[in-house]
Amino acid sequence: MFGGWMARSAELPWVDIGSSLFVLLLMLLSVALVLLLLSSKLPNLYRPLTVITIVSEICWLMILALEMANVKSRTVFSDMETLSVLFANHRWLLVPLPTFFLLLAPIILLVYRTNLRDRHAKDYRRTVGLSLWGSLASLLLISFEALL
Amino acid sequence: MCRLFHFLFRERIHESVAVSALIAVSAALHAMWMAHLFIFRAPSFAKYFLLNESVGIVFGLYLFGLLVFIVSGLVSLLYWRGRDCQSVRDRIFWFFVVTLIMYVLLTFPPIYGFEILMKAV
Repeated sequence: MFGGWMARSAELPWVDIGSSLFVLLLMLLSVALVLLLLSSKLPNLYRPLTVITIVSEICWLMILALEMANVKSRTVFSDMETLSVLFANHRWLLVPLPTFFLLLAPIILLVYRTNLRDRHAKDYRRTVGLSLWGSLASLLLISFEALL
Repeated sequence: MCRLFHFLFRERIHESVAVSALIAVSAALHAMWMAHLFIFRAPSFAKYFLLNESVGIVFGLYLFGLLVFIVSGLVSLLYWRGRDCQSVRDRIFWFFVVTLIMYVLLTFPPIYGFEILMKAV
């Protein structure tokens, strides 16, 4: 994902663990966003939402661990050299965003639980929404920049 | 008897935990973009962040962000514990939003790499 798309040593003959985890993470975040939209009507949805955000954080940390264990120097082509180096730095700098956001969302969900839809919890509801949307956007940006 | 210990089991919202988490994430993101900018402008400083040769300075930067997150989270938790957070709720949320915008902008290569070259006449 950060250039050499996934760990060579983690590749099994039939499945690429890193890519599978990344796809799973995107699916989990999509489900979490739908649940967040529905939770204003159905407050009990905070439980699956909390579990999904915790599982997403674990998935993301596993992807990071796989990537860090298999970082290799990469060849960059002359035309794209500057751009590739710039984007390589930039996508590593984007990594803290989903890491912290996926940590923040379950903390707030565990604190507020069904009260998250109350009027006084408006700022926290917005924070959870911002965290989930921000995580998804930064993950998509990281994967897009890896293609350059 | 149940009523006597009812205060132990009543459902409370520990808003101080949520406020502390928001402050901790904001502080960590601020610390990380500042440290990155400092390393970029003063490369001799980078050796303190070079904890892993293969990953590079970014590994030290992550650990630094994690350290700031834990320390600022604990300090703000100790400060806000048992206090009324109602008055700061809105301000802390906007502090978090501003932090996010600043982090995204100031880690973007054309912005943090911007410099004005002066020519001697």
